[in-house]
Amino acid sequence: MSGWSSLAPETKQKVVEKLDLMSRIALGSTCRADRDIVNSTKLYIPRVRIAKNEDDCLLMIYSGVNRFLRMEFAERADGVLISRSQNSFDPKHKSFKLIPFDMTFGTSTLAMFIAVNVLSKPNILVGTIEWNNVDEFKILCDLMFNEFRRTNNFIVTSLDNLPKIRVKNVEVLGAPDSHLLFFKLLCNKSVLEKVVRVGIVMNDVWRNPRIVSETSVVRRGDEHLSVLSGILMRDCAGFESILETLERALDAEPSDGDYVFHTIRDLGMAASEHFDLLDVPVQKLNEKVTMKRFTRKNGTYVIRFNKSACGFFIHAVLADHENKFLELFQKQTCGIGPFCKKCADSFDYWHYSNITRRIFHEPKWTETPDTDSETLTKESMESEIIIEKRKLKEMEEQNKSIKYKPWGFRNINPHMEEEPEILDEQEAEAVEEQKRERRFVESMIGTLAGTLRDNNFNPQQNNPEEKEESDSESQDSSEDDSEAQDVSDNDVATDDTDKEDSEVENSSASEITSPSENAKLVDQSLAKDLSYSKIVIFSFIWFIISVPVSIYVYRALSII
Amino acid sequence: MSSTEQGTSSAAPAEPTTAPESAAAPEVPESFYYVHGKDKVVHKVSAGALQHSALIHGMISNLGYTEEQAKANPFPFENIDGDILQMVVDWCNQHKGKPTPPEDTNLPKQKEKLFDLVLAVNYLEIKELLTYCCKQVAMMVKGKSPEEIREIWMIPTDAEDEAAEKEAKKRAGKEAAGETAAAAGDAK
Repeated sequence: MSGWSSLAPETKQKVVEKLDLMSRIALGSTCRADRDIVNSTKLYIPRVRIAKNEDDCLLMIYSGVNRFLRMEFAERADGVLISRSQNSFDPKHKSFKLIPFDMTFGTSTLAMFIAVNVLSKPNILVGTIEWNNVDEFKILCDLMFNEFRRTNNFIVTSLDNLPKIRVKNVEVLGAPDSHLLFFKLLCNKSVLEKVVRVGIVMNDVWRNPRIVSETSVVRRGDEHLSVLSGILMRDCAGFESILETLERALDAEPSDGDYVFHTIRDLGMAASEHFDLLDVPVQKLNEKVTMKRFTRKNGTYVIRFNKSACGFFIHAVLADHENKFLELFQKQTCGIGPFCKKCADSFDYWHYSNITRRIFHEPKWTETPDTDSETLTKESMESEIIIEKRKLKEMEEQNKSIKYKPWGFRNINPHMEEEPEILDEQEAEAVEEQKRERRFVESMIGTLAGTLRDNNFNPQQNNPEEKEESDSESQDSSEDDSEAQDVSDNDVATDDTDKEDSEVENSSASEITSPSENAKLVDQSLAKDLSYSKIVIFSFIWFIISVPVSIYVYRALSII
Repeated sequence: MSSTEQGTSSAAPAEPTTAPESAAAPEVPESFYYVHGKDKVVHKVSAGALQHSALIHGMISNLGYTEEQAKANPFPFENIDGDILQMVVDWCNQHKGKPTPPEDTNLPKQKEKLFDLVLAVNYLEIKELLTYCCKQVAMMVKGKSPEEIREIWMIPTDAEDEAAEKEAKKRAGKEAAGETAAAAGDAK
């Protein structure tokens, strides 16, 4: 009788290709042979999102347009409550599971641990990992390192040996520095193409992106592009204003060895008339793009106006750096990237054109975007939100007949169809107590890590002034703040580590000179963090035990 | 069964009575070939329908059969059950010269038959039908737990696999020892 076992491995791979992520994981758990089949079948995941809100964490794995697996992690007295849903934001479609977990380091550890375990396979390619407000990355690395050591029988000896995720783009919203360590330690550098920091600026027409303003940097020693991207909901400004903005951006000199160019993409084609009015000869950049090139400030700056069938876009670059990017400029055929309905990947187009709708779908996990309009008030936004909610409700009414079956998840705990709530004051107190304990341990480790950093590990911390600068600049995304955000703080340097520190000082963008050196330093600091934290905890416990015992002994002796 | 007729043996294939679908356009006379499965029932299939199968298409082009020769020598597929071959032939006739739709709902629902069909289609190298079959097989376990998948697809556990392997090795060893003993006896 024929069955799964009688199929050829190639045929099995064809079957696995048709399976979603969770079913693949389930199949891989049946036996060793099937795990090999699953691990040898390619899988593309367009987007993964990890977000943090106070003590809770969110992990979303997208598989296509409107198709995603969603896991929310919330703290409870006896572990972590994971609420899971698939392709729906409706709380009615969630299923819940309470798992016992050491909450000392918070829910984000568990979320990250799951993400890395699921995604760090050589056959899985992730399009974009989105990183919202996730900090404490060092602690996460620390924990994961120990966990991987434990599960791999201590074969993993350094952070460089941690499993790597094959991801093309890392996208960051509101996490200032943690992403740097993330893509250094957990991303496969040969696959990584872009690290993007995204900011959204709203206007009156706030739901549809109109302009994208980008500052792209190729840093010394990096193969990927670091991009600071601002998505604006207003139309492109006048000709002079555009040039002023670009020149201001170019005025900020790049660090030694860094190459910068600026891009403005006009999605609404409102500024395409500037291209026609410009009195400069037209050049054919490639089959699809025509270009008008001119220089400014005595030939120091090069401005390239480009027009394609899809949109109008401008590149501005220092004349000396132009040759470095010629190949990249010539490859542009559309010019408006993921915002083009015709040329972009359907998932990317869907995601970016609906990016502001997150406010309705996931208010808990979405920061309200910045606004540069006086007319867009809180009231007007609220009225918009009411309209949008009504639309969503109508859609849900229409879809009532559709049964949401979370087939991506196993129904492990069928009794928990509703979210268990904190029942009484005692339980609430227990949760609070746990949180307090965690914060104490975190602060202890943070303090110790800070002390150690001064000696032998130089992390990427911004100066307060620079931080302020980058904050203010993030509102006006046309300015170059990539330098401000990335400048390292190298105040303290001991004699022992002078060489290393001077190298770090020279490097920009908080990039530590060589990855192997960096990994060693991180290892050392993590190892010391751990040992110091253990000593502190041990001495704390010893103190608590020894004081009552000594009092008791003293009293006993006095009685005698 | 619209385009095929069951015969009794490969040596004397029965004359098909029903005309193939391509009879509607009789301008160019279409050539026909004959195949049979494990049950020796002969199926008449047009060359156009057989183009779906890379294996049979290759055999035809290499052999250069005339219609008479083809009738006398049906292609034997002894490893394919008769009803499965019937399904394949029907599918090929249905999709002759047509673009294949994104989904096919006429595939068998019983898992044993579906796996037999997958094996046959894989052997005959019918790419489009294999894609549909693989999708159907995948749908059987979508969203299921490892235990459920193991039950549905009858996947042995690692321990069972190892035990079966050991037993097979033992048996092979015994057979080899028996053979050598027999050979030694013969030599004496």
